[in-house]
Amino acid sequence: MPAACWRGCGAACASEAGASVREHKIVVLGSMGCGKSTLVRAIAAGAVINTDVHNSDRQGADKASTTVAMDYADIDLPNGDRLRLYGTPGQQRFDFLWPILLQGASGVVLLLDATRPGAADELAAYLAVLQQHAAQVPAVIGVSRLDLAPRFDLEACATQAGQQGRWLPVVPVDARDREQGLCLMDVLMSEMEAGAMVAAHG
Amino acid sequence: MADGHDARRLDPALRARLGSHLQGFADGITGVRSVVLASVDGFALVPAAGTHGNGERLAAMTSAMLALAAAVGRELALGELEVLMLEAGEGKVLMLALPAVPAPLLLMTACDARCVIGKVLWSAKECGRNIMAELSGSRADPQGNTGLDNQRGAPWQDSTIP
Amino acid sequence: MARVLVVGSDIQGEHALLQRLRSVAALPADTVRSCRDLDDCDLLVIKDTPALRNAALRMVRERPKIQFWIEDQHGDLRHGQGDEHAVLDDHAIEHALRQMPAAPGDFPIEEPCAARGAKAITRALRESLQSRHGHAVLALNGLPVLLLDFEQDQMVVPDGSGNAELAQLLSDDFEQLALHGIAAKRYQQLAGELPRQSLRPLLWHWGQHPAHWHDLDVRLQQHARVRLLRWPDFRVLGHQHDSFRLCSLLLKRACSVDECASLLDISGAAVRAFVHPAYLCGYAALEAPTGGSRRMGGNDAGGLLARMWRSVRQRSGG
Repeated sequence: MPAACWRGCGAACASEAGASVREHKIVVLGSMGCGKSTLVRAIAAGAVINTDVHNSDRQGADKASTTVAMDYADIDLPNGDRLRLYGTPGQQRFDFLWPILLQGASGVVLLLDATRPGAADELAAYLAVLQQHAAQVPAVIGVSRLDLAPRFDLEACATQAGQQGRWLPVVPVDARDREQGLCLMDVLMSEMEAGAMVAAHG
Repeated sequence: MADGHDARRLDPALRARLGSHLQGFADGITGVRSVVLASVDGFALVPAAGTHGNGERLAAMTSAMLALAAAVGRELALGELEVLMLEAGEGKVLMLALPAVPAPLLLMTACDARCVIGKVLWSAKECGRNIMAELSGSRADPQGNTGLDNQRGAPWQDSTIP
Repeated sequence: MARVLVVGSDIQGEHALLQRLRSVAALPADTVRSCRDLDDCDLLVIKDTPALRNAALRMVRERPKIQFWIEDQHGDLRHGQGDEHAVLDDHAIEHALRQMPAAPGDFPIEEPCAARGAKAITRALRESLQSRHGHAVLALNGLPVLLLDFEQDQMVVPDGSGNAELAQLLSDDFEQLALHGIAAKRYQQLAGELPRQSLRPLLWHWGQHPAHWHDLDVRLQQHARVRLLRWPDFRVLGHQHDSFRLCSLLLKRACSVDECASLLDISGAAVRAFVHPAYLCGYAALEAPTGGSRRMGGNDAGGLLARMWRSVRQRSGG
């Protein structure tokens, strides 16, 4: 049996049947408690493998459990390709996983929680991670809980994201709402599509 | 603020005793480079014994590794995860899940190529038993010292989290 | 604005009274207006009869904000309630009228007109929207129809109409509009307590109206390339997938309408329907057409994935 390509590098991988199957890896980054696992579950609407354990850091995020390795779900596409979704753990102490999970990513979703006081700094930190490990990978920024943070400056956020040398879409999203999660993916897909077009032909 | 327990809030005396178990384990076996006791979500509970690696980092890595291993175990319906073993050219790593309440504690030990893995595993399990005994208020100690004057008992055993 | 409800007079009498009030207070025509709704008026003036007096007193007691005057058979005006029974002289009338709840219409626009008509206003708006600097008022026949705050990306609508209605008005009367730059303080004065709203959704709505884009369309037909300067506010884009795709493409590379249409497999009309509002809002700019034709294929991995994704979405009702 051919060795499976665990990295999901987007190159054609040999499936068991021997036909070429493309695997497209989408990685969801963002700080603890901003809704990454929720988003993966909402998009996949099906079985999600998770690594949630008891959360002892209630100050980091007031929830009972937290992701310590990753969430994983896949979606089969009509042409036989597969979309692999990876949710990441948000805490800084798991940052060794981010480059591993970002390797071979076709697209990145960066989730920001608008209610967190250090949101701008967190955005800067994650943008730096992207710059280092996924500089040219299409990405979209989803901002959640805007209704609870009316003073959050989406414009400033977009400008900050634009300092990387490319304009990243900044999309308001409720991570719990499946339709909004899918809409976020729609924007990411548009970015991936346009990026591939331009890269292929200049 | 946390309601229920914070697994990291250990009584200093208890912490010291746990540390000495880890140290005893590290000292008692040839080739052990480091021993870490971690919460299930990756915090180091006591300073790491041994000199190799960053204890905090290893705690987080252990948490991630065991969580992934547990996911594999669930996928294959293998039951509760007990031990994960890594073997590489220059050494081995053992990760144990200690059955605490409400969440496991994680014991990681890294050893070099000199170690005999069976011995390490046995000693690690014994260290784990000693740790669990400390936490439950008595030591599994042939000398019979009760030792523990912590009236509350281990924080997570007082947990009121359902 | 002084909204005046006149009761007990015929039409000529009412007109005469209003005209007198205007000339006394030296206020523009539309700032002293006839009103038919007691709950909507600032001043009630009745002819002096016992029946009307009683009825009026009852009604204004429940509406303390309304001023109440009585016009006697000589045409003199007096306060209808309180202890003051002296005839109101011109000075008192002027004072009272000017005190009434202010609306932008009460303050004639003194600032010079910065732009008039569709083309000039579009250019001025685009510049201000991109620089995010300053404030302005859009006026029709001397009356403010829209107050703009480019710094906060907000607007105030003096007469409270909704976006759809206002967008229609702005489009219909584009050539008659005048844009005046105003100071921040003046903006606050004109805006008063009226609610501040987000500016871009209205502008986008306005830009979607087909009129007044002739010159722009000519340039687009001549293969001018469109470049997007930044992502539009997602609140104006809504869930329009083709808009997302156009934004993604035009942010990375300037393309003509034909190129967009062929690359993304959407109609030229749909592309233009996006470009018009994007242009008005300052999100898009035009560049000269390229010399040769640049052909880009669509059958690449990214396009295929996106198409597969969209088909999954459609199947699940997305």
